[in-house]
Amino acid sequence: MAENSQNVVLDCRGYCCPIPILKTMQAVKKLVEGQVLELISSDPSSQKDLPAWCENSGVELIEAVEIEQEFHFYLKKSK
Amino acid sequence: MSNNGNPKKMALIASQGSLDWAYPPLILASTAAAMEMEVQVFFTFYGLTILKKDANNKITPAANPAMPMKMPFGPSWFQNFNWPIPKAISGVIPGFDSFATSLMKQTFKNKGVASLEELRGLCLDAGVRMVGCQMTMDVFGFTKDDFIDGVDFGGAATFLEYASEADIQLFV
Repeated sequence: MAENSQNVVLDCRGYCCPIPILKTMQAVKKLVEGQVLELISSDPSSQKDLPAWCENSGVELIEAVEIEQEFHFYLKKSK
Repeated sequence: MSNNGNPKKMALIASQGSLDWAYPPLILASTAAAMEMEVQVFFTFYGLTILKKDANNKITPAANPAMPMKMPFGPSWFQNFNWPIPKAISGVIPGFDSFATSLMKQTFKNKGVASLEELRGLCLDAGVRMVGCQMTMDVFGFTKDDFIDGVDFGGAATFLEYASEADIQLFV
């Protein structure tokens, strides 16, 4: 994922279910057209929960990567 | 999440007032709201205490044989050790439940679990409708002033009317 100054970073490391999902919902609401949200989570259940939430919420999951047991998700609002 | 354009609905009953039983309805309600479901939680009997301003829901090892006893400090091998405290001891020491509760809350905090108060606030922020049981309030002598803002009060018919059209109904 290319560095983009427009990206918003949400750091949920250290939080358990369901906080990463709830904070992501709040952050996605604030996104403007074209902005990408990067969520960083250390909660292993995010790997399943986040895609499930995106599926149901009209949010596009662009990419998900695991870096040293931390999960990075890149999200944007679907058109 | 929708049914032909209408949001899916979830109806929960929260009937228990111990700390461990207070978490599941609040976690499910806040997450369902985040998944764009419409959510109503009916708090009845001891579950009603979850909505009190001075909510002090506790855990107890009594009748919970699977409850781990962990220390929330020290090196990880120490924190992960499960203390085998016999029921004959935990059941008779005054204040044991308060002591066990403070350890559990600290363990939750260390592991990044939200407090009940935080989850409760997140539910309200996300638009979860919280309904307290009027009958329970009257039976235990509570008043509306004892409860956090944003709580409605009603009875069985209030819940059933909503639950009859809900996609998910759970009794916790």
